[in-house]
Parts: sequence; C-alpha cells; structure tokens
Amino acid sequence: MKSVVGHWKYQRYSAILLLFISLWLSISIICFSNYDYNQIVSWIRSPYGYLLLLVFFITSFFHARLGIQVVLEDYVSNEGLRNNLILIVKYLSWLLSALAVLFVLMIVF
Amino acid sequence: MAKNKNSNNPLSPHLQIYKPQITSVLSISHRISGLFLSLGLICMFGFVTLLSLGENYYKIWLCFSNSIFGEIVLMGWVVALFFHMLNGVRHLFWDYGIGLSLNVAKWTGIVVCLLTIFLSFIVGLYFLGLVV
Repeated sequence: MKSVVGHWKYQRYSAILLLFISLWLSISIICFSNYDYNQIVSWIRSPYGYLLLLVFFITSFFHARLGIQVVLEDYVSNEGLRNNLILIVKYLSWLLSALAVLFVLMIVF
Repeated sequence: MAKNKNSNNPLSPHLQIYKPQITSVLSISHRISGLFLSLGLICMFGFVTLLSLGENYYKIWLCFSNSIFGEIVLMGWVVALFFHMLNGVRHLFWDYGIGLSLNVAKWTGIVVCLLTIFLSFIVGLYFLGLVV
C-alpha cells in the first residue's frame, strides 16, 4: 500500500463490508442444526452462500493484512525487519485468499 | 541518541507504565482481538480446505471442533468477533468525529463491553444446547 490515506480508507471500507458479511456468516453458522458434511456443502452451494463466502474471504484477508501492518509499524522498531514482516504478511494474505477462493469454488463445482 | 537523552520531550506512554483506563484497555484489546481473529481466519481457511477435500477430511475438522480445546478456542473467536465488531463501529463513528469526548468515549466503551458479554452469552447458551 503506497499511500497512507489509501491504507486508512481501505481499512474502513473493508470494515463496513465485513460488518455485514460477518453478521450474516455468524448467523448462518449458528443456524446449522448439526454440523454434518452434506448440510454445510449444500449451504455453500446455494448462490448467495458461495458468493458471500468468497467476498468474506477476500475482504477479511485484506482487512487482516492492513490491521497487522499497522501493528507491525507501531511495535517493530527495526526498519529492515519491519518491512520484511509487512511484505511476508502481504504475500501470505494474498496466497491464502487465492487458495480460499480456489477451495470454495472446488466445493461448488 | 545523546541529543534525545538531554531533551525534555515526553516519552510515549508505554503500556507497562500507563495507568489502565477503559479507553486505553479497549484500544489495545481491539488490536489483540484483531490479531486473534486473524488466527481464526486461518482456522476458517483450514475449515474450507478440509471441506473441499471431501467428507473423510471434514471429520478432522469435527475432531477439532468437538474437542474441549476446539470448543474453547471457537468460543474465544465468537467473543473476539463480537468485541472487534462492536468496537469497530465505535471507531467508525470516531472517524466521523462523533463521540470523541472523553465522557462519551468512556460510556460507549462500557456499552461495547456489556453488549459483547450479552451477545457472547446468548451464543454460548446456544452452543451448549440450552437455547434452540
């Protein structure tokens, strides 16, 4: 994230998006009667199920990365180490969200 | 370094010597719950991974989620999610300049704590099977 204002804004946008998606996700998870395989798979295969799940994974990995970056900037005083850690978190979050998208799509198709 | 030592600039308030107040405690809790939720996100990633591999692999997840350790950690994530979400709304209002005065910030902090306890309690009762 090159611009600090951009970081700040995206953190807020993703927060607002996650506020609604996390509420939906928590309520959905609570609504499962017993957590059997077929029930969860058919829930994910419903159109809004997998679409919202994809948005959830992409947004929350992004939001988590931005948050961890701020914490690293505040608490890691060694500049080289700090920048390396931020890069690792960045690429790791990209990798995991790409894999999450792949796995969700594998469940659907 | 020597220059810094001689100057009378105040040091930033380090956590160890900072008198805990509800505003400061909630501020650091927001970060801690955020980091904890990042672990939860990785756990959810594991859940989707196992789910995509098929029913036999999904049993590994059930072993985790039905264990005492799994139940405690999952409930911890519920509490952290409610707290981070509610306190996050408080932060969003601050960004618009609403509720910034010391008194209001104190009260909204207390409301966040009470709502977190209340909502977590309801979900906890549900998971224990006491509420349908």
